[in-house]
Amino acid sequence: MPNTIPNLAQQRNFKRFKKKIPANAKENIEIFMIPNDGIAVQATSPGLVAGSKAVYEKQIDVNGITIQYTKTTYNPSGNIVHVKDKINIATYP
Amino acid sequence: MNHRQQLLQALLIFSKPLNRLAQELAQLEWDYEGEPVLVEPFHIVSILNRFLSNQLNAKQVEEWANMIECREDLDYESLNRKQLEQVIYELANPELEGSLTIERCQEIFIMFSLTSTSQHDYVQQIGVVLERILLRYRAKDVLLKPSPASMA
Repeated sequence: MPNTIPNLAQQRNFKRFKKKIPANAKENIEIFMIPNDGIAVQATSPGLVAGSKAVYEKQIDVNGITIQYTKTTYNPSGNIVHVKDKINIATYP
Repeated sequence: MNHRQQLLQALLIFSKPLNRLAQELAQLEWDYEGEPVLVEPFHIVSILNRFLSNQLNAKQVEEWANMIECREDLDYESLNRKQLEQVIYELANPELEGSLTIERCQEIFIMFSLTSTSQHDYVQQIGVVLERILLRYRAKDVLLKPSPASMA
């Protein structure tokens, strides 16, 4: 996990991401490098239903453009309930 | 009002079928740093009213809230920001927060009726109007010198 976000455009995008995620996810953020100097930022929101959680993940390219934004919901057993594509507004499965 | 704003307003009042809203919203660029459209208490109260009157089911409410959650071109009205954000989160995540119930709808109605800025504005406006009327009467000495008949 990198200590800092590589460039200014990505930092601006990350700031918007952080502003919009649920309040209980703001302190649970991880940042990963992805190919072509992009980054993936993940925020985890624990559910009231014990063991459940949602992971908000945004992938940002080197130019600071969002290339993917998903929310993955896990049940208390750790299984994926569904993945919601925020940009294309679709739910899988 | 531009196309994005019109579409977001349509989303907030749920004036089109979900699949049509989804199709049109997916055409917009996700990244946005312009003036956001505001989510206000009446948007949520209206959707919950439609849910309670069986015009919308729980799945539709969930999908609606998911379309709102995290959008960069939407923001929450500042005086109710925390509550609005929390309610949209709850509606968008029933697996995490529990299913939507009649009791929870009622709690949300009460929460927004206590903090609604529109009501606050209304009360303020009424106060201003009453003060103007009183000033007019005072200027005419009507209230300062009541007639003996009115004292009886």
